[in-house]
Amino acid sequence: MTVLERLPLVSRSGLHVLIGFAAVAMVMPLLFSGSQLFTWTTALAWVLFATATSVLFGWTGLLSFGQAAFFGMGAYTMALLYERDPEMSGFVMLVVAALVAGVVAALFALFALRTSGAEFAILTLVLAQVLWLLTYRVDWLNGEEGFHGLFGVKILGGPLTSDLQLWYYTTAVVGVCVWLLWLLSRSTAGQAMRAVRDDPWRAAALGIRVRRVQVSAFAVSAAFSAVAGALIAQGQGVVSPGMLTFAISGEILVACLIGGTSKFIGPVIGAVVLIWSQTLMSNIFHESNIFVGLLLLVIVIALPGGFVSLPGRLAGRRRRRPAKGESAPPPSGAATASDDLVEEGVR
Amino acid sequence: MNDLLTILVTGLAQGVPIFIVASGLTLIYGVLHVLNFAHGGFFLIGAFILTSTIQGGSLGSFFGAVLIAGLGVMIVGIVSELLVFRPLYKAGPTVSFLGAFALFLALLGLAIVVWGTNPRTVRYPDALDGSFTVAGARIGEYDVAMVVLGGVIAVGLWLLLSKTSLGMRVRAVSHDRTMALALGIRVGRVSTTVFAIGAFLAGVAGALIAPVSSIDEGLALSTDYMLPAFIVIIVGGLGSVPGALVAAMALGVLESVIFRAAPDLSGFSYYLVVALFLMFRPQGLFGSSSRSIQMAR
Amino acid sequence: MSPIVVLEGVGKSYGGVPAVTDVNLEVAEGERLAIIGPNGAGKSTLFGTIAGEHRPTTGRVTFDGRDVTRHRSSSRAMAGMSRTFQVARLFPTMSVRDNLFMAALTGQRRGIKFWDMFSGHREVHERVDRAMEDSSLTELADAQASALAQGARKTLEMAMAIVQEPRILLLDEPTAGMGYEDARAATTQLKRMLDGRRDMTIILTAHDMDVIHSLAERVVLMANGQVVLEGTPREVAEHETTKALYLGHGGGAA
Repeated sequence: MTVLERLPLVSRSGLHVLIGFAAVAMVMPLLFSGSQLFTWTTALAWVLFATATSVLFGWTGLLSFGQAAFFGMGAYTMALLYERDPEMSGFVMLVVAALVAGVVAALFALFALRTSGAEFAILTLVLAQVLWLLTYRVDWLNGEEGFHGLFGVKILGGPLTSDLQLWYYTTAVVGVCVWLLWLLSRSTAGQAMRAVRDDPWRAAALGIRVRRVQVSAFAVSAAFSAVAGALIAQGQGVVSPGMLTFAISGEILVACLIGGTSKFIGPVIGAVVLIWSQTLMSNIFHESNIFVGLLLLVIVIALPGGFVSLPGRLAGRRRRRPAKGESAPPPSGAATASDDLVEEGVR
Repeated sequence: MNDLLTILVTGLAQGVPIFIVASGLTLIYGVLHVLNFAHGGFFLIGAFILTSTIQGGSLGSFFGAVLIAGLGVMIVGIVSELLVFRPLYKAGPTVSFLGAFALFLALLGLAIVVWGTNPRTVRYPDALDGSFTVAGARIGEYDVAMVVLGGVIAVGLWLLLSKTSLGMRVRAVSHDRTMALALGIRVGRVSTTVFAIGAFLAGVAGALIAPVSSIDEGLALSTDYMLPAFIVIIVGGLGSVPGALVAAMALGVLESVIFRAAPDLSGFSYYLVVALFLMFRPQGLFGSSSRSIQMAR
Repeated sequence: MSPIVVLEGVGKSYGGVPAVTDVNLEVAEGERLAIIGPNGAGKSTLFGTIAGEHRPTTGRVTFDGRDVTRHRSSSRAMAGMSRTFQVARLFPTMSVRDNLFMAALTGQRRGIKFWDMFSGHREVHERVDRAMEDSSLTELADAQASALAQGARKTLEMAMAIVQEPRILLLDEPTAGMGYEDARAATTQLKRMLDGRRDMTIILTAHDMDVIHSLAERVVLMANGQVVLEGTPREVAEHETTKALYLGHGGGAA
């Protein structure tokens, strides 16, 4: 990837992202099949979910504990569309799911961003919780039953009939979505999100409309999370209120954190590690929460930057960090200021 | 008409465990600036400990088990504070927040490892198993006990915070940590103590709801109480115990009224209230507005 | 020349305690104005009102003929008002170059777009390169802002404000927190960066008389939330009101 990135055209258009996904799409079926390939399919949908979450949490610095709301919204949108019109193309459903979640998220964020930090996180959690309750209270959402038979969603004229077809389909959709998000990360809007995360006051003083950037980040994050939710629904064939629980919202943050959000690829790694470790652990111990919890604890305490910070840390241990420019540590400036912001929350 | 009293007592009784959870949360927030998600785990473990330690239906056995649950969870809380929160304090609130969530997951898992996944139930203590009639309203004895206990805990906390030197130190630290350090207050010890108190209260709350609810692996159970508790501390103002008390009682009664008047809407009242609150009074009932004056947006 | 900034009866109080009362001030286009005064005189509050950090309790702020009293700081920035902070505010995780790029891009009133690639904008990148040369930051181009020393932080923030090519530049205590030597060096540097930008209006607050003498043409002296004296730097510095105020407050700065 680094070699490819040197080529300006490839790197500027993010072709290496697409090439990477194409390679993964072709290689995995040679190495895995059956339930293992299915685990990889699930992991890829989570890769999209984690990257989408990172737009909000990593790039823009907004902590949301309600990502499940949009994940579930995507799944339910697809289920409802399929119930209404089984002939509708799956791709159309994905687009509708993304739009629904994006619009809901933007409206919600306009209101929720009156608060910040901890209160904002709680409000997002409330949103997910309200949706979860609604699935039980609204008749046509079928309560605990949810929806079944989503294997039948038509892709290019017919339903997906094998694990392999599902794999190719999921990789293609995730590949394109992650590529779009990669382009976003390299756009001026992506840079503005980072600016807002780093210091909203500074950003505003430069003329960046902080609120607008935050709302857009929220909407984008929600839209792609919804696509991920719809992909999961399609892969598992089932939609249930479980997709809206707090556990999902938490796990996706775990994925982001395991991988680290300082690099684009962090959440990608994190999602794969999370899904595979959950799968392997629940085979062995039946109960994976304790393992995921402990893994997260270890990472939070010992490697707060996630896996992507590992190379830098190892390199840093070998040779003491060379002082860049003048060597004095930043005094009362931005570093502390941004900590305060995290505490005060980012408005 | 007679229903009103029933609704009131039921509502208050529902509010009590939420207040107990919330008071610990809000104290911990005040001192450590962490929204302690692990509280849900503390709560659950308290409930499980009670199911294991209770013997027979006597009042003494029940409240003995409640106390053991509180103390057991307190130990878990102290260990967590020392192992998880203290190292994370410097990393800032977001990381602590996630650390708390990690701990929550780990505690849920631990509960399953220790107690398994089969739901457990506990009977009401014999002496509190009935109901009586006042002015035509039927009132559950256990509900009354809850309300009384809630009052005792509220008064106890108030005395602790306003009359003891520990309370003074706690208030000093939550008001201004740096200043407290400068005054020679051992902030680390205060944090651990507050954490211990908060965990104890969470354990007690968990134990108290054991007769009311079936105790199982818990994500739903712990979020059923933890989310309202979060909402209560936001509505009451982060860091304010009286705020938590008022908000928990008000929301408990509101929920009880809604449950009677429009059962379809029950469960939503907390969410609705928090939404309205954050819209019109973002600093909460008793919170003072420390927000900077006007942000850029 | 027509005034670019007009304050009419501006007052600001915090919880009923007035910090600034009834300030009337006109700043002409291209003028370089310093607001000085002892601690607590209200100069920071007044500065914040101009920059859009907070809304005044009373009165009106006009920028370029438009009432901007209720405009947020981002709107003011887009209208051509750039500022620095007393304690430099930067984007700590970004490189010096990216900090400047963000400033230069927003200074172009381009707005921010999803489909607009960061690596494009050749002429913005060129402006960034020039700004780094002008402010001697070229060597530090790829350093993270959080790794910069105090002096470099201040310089970078100043360069960010200037690269926006604002119509009016607001400098809040450009040498705050510096020792004597550093402050002198920073003042010289600032003067050099502002050379050849005579059309840029400047409003600054300062404690440091060196900064005022080398940058300002006109000085307003504030005390107790009001303007008590106006004049050239020399006039104000030598006026007995000034001496009384500063000496009365422990002095030193003047």
